[in-house]
Amino acid sequence: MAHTVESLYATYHESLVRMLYRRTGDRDRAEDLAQEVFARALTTPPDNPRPWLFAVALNLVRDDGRRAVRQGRRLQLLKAESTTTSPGPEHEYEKEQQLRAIRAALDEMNERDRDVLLLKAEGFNYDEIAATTGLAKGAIGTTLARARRRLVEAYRKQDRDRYAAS
Amino acid sequence: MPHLDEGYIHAMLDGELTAADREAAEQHLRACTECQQLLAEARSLFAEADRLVETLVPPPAGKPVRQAAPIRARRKNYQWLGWAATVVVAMGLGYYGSALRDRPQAAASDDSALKQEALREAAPGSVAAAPQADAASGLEQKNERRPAPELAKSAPGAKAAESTATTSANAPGDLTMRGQRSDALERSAEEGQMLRDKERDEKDAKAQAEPPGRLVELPMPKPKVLNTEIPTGFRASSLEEAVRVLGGSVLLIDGMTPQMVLVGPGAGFAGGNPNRDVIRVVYDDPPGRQLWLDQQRIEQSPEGAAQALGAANKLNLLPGDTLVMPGPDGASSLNWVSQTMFRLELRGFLPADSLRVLARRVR
Repeated sequence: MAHTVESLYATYHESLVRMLYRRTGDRDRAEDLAQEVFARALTTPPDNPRPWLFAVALNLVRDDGRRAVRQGRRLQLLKAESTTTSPGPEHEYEKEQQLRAIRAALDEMNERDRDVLLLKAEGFNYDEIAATTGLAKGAIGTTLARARRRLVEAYRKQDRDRYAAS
Repeated sequence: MPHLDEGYIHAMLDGELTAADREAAEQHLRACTECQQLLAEARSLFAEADRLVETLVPPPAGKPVRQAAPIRARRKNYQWLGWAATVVVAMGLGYYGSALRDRPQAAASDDSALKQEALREAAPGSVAAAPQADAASGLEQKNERRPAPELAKSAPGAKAAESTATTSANAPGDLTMRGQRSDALERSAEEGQMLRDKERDEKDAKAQAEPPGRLVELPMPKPKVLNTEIPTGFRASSLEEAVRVLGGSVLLIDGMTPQMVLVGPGAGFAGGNPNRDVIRVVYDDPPGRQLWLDQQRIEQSPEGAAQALGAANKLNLLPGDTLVMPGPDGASSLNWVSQTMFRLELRGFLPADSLRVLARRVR
């Protein structure tokens, strides 16, 4: 079934940007990567668009991450983000800290677990996750169980450290 | 049935088991407290992990992720304004203070008066120019100047000069040295006042010629014109075609909805590559006038990039620079070459500052 880029964009753009934002922590970067994904969809129209689009997106994130590390951009990004913690209203500050802890917990996970978890959060079923990541469908349940456990444990650790430090 | 493993329980919670598998698992769970405990733990992890992931929501389009830097930049600007205001006030006080200080000195010192007279004789043009400046200046400047002699009279030195002059006037024909000196004093006081008046008139005239920015009357925005006509040389394009023409993704203004995507010849795109088509994304600005975002990707090959940058450099543009150019009918355009090697132009009836703000949202 042929899909136009417009229809793919209308259907998947929001979800793709959300997943990319969760993956990168940078909305602008998520938007740029999503644009690139749709540009590639134009040259290689996918038959099974959702797994294809998200697989390309995750590959781009990995490539972009490697390039960013080489260019030292990650350090710059972390530095820039650290400036957002200017003391504001207490609940805003608390929320910012919580987001930071979740992001740090996600960063602690291995790539495969994180990708599977984020795809599931976008409503992917096990077949689609398998098609996107290349994992066997039978391994998805175990991977998700491990990913959920690691995320929660890492977050709780971040949370404990945060309160211990304050 | 053997005990359920964690993955199997999560697959069950995710609704991935077949009806038969689910039935079998539930049957086992009814009898196995160990697996019931595992299920309760899995449910808790499931809910907690979902909650954590769903907390990460992208900020709304158009809202910068990093806000601290701009706020600090604005504070810096206010600091500069504060410093500038302090300098202006200090200069004003200095000028006023020097004016007050000059008067008693002029009246009290005979020698300085004679020196000033000599100076006046040596440079008569400067004094003669004063009446012309008076004639050129408006009523407001004349009215402003009126209190000055009164101020001079109220100064003790000036009073002394005045009384001396009056004494000499009451003795007509008495051309003693003292009388000459008092004349010189009076003349010097008047002359000093005229010089200061002239200086103030010049400042006023300059201020009138260049009124402060905040007093400039801005032209009213043009009435709403819903212009859906396609400009000459351009034709409607699909997003797919635009992506093909650009050889990559189309840049858009974040938070605004494009009305049309057009493709046209690059020949009319100043600083662009005349041999390549240009993509124009048409928006409606808030008053409803058209806003054009023209774009052309600069070739990735070194030769192409050099050629395209050469063309862009006709506008003296380097990546990161912006150039505002006036357009016809009161429109203006903001031109720049992005760091991602796009030649871009944002044209509309908005002020340059607004165009710059929108340009920062192009991605």
